[in-house]
This record gives sequence, C-alpha cells and structure tokens, in this order.
Amino acid sequence: MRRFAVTFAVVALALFAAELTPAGQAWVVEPWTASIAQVSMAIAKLFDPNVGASGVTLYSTTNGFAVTILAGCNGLEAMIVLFAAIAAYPAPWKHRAAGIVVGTLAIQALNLVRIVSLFYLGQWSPAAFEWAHLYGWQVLIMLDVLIVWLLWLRTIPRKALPAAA
Amino acid sequence: MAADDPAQGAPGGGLIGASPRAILAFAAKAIAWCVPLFALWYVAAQPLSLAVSKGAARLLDVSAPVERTAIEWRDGRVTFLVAPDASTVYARNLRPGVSFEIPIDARKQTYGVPFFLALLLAARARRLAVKAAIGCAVLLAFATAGIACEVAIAYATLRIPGGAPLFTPGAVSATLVALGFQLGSILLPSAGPIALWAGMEATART
Repeated sequence: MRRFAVTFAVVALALFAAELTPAGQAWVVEPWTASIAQVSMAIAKLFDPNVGASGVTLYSTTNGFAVTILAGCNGLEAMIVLFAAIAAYPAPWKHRAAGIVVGTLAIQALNLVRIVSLFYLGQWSPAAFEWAHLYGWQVLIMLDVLIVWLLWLRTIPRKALPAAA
Repeated sequence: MAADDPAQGAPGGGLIGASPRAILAFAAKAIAWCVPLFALWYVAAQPLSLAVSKGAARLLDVSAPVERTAIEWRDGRVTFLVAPDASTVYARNLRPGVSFEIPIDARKQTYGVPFFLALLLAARARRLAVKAAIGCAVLLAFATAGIACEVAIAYATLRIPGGAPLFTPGAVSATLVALGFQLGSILLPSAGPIALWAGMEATART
C-alpha cells in the first residue's frame, strides 16, 4: 500500500511537472488541446453546422458564444492520474500498456462529450455552465478514471498480483 | 482476486477486484450521493470558504512578503486584502498602509469534500465517520494550500500604478507557486478524493 502511494505520488507529480514545462506545453499540451478542439468541432458539426473552431476556441457562428479549451479542460490531468495509478500498481508491462491505451480512449471520449455538452449548456444557461464546468464534469471525469482503473485491475493475471493486495 | 459472483463485490467487500457490475453500481451510487451532498456543500459554501481562506491567509502571512492578509466575504466570493510588507512598500514607493484586493472563488478548491463523502457512502465504507473526518481534514488542508497558491500568483503578478510589476519572483519560486496553483486548483480537488478513497479502500483490504 505504501509503495503504491509513494509511486503514485512520484509519477503523478513528475508527469504534472513535465506538463507544465515550456517543452511539455509546446510539444504535448498545445497540440493535444488544439486537436481536442478540432475533434469537438467535428462532432458538433455532425448535428449543428453553425459551429466553428479557431485554435483552441470553439464558437457558434449564430450567437457568437465561444468556449476556449484550456489546461484542465483537455483531459490530460485525468490521464496523468490514470497513468500514475496504473504505473504504481504491480502488473505486467503488457497489461499496463493496454490499460493506458484503453484508459486514454475512455477518458478522451468522455472529455469530448463534456466539451460539446458545455458548449451547448453555456448557450442555454451561464449558471448551469459554471456548475457543470467547475464541479459536475470534473467529478464525472475523475469517476471515469476510477472506473477504468478498477476495471483494469480485474484484467491483471492473478499470478502477477501481490499476495496481500 | 476477482469475485466469484459477477454481481457481487470483491471477497473482502471492497471494490478492488470487484465485478464490472459492482463497479458500475458503485459509480451510479456515487453520482446519486453527489446530488444531495453537493447541495449541502453549496449551502455551506460561505463558512467553508471562509474557514479554508483564513488558513490560506495565515499561510501567506508566514510565507509571502506581506505585512498582513485579511479576508472578507463579498458577492459569493472571498476577497483577500493583502498588505505588502514594509520592504516592498519602500522599494516600490507605495502609499503606507496600502492593501490589494484579490477575489477568489474558494468553492473551486473545496468541492472535493462532497465528492469524497459520496465515494465513501456509495462504497458503504466501514468506520465511515473516522474515514470521513480524516478525508475531509486532508482535503481541506489541500484546499487551504491551493487557495494560498492562487492568491500568491495573483499577488505576484500585480502591477503598481505606472504598470511596473509589484514583484519579480525568481524562476524556482515562480515555478513552485505555479505548480502549487495547478495542483491545488485543478488536480487535487478532483483527484484528491479518488486517491484518498482508493488509499483507504486498499488499506482496509490489506
């Protein structure tokens, strides 16, 4: 338990610090966030042609409402938490890699739902947008991380697990 | 490790190793518990925000170049009244007794408390009261540090009349405060409850 906690904290802090560096921002965060904006726009355009994207900003061409995807909105923090939890738990590397790939897909899929829903929620009610943005979706994304991690634990072969876990 | 009955939790009663059905049921219960707990948290936002902000103000008093930090509740937010220390007032030629107003929405840092309690209740944790007390204390300590970092960033980036910066922090201290802000405002309020709950869950099973 102690080893898991220490490894989790060290990996999470290291990845989070790396994300904050200028190189991390330029090579990972900014292109990733721009991609998220483009994919969000593509999804929204499937049922609403009046959506545009400029850089990391998603906007409505009818009423001018816009949302900008910033740090904390791109799902990277949730991915860091999942990566750290997977790295900290004793498991074969093959299972860790599979967990990271599937977990990334699960987190980013929900994050796209989050961004698109917030885009329309903001046009309907600023108060509801604020609640959903600051609290509601934050909780749901982290719950998603927890569910993915708990499900991933079940895929680890029994022989690879520590006796006390 | 995996439960024999797919509808049940793990042999020890916890969720680590539980069936997918039990895990999803737990998530649904956690979301359901979030509704009343977030309502209660919102009602208690003012005293809770003031309590953690008071701690953050004391933290700033001992760690930042300030003479004193006071707090007030205004329009649903906590306003920090930060008076620079004498050397800053002298160096920047400020009016003696000047203080800067920094409004903060402390709810951003405290919403982990109802989330954590929802996780505990959804898992029907043993020794619930003890775990709730310990978890809330830890999360409020995180919130205090996060608010202090948010105010410190706002304070460090203030500009005095004429446009000059009030401070020119060193690279290391600026990075540490930025990391503290990111951790305290973005990561810990949402990931802290999960990590604490998982830690308590794992400890109960070992």
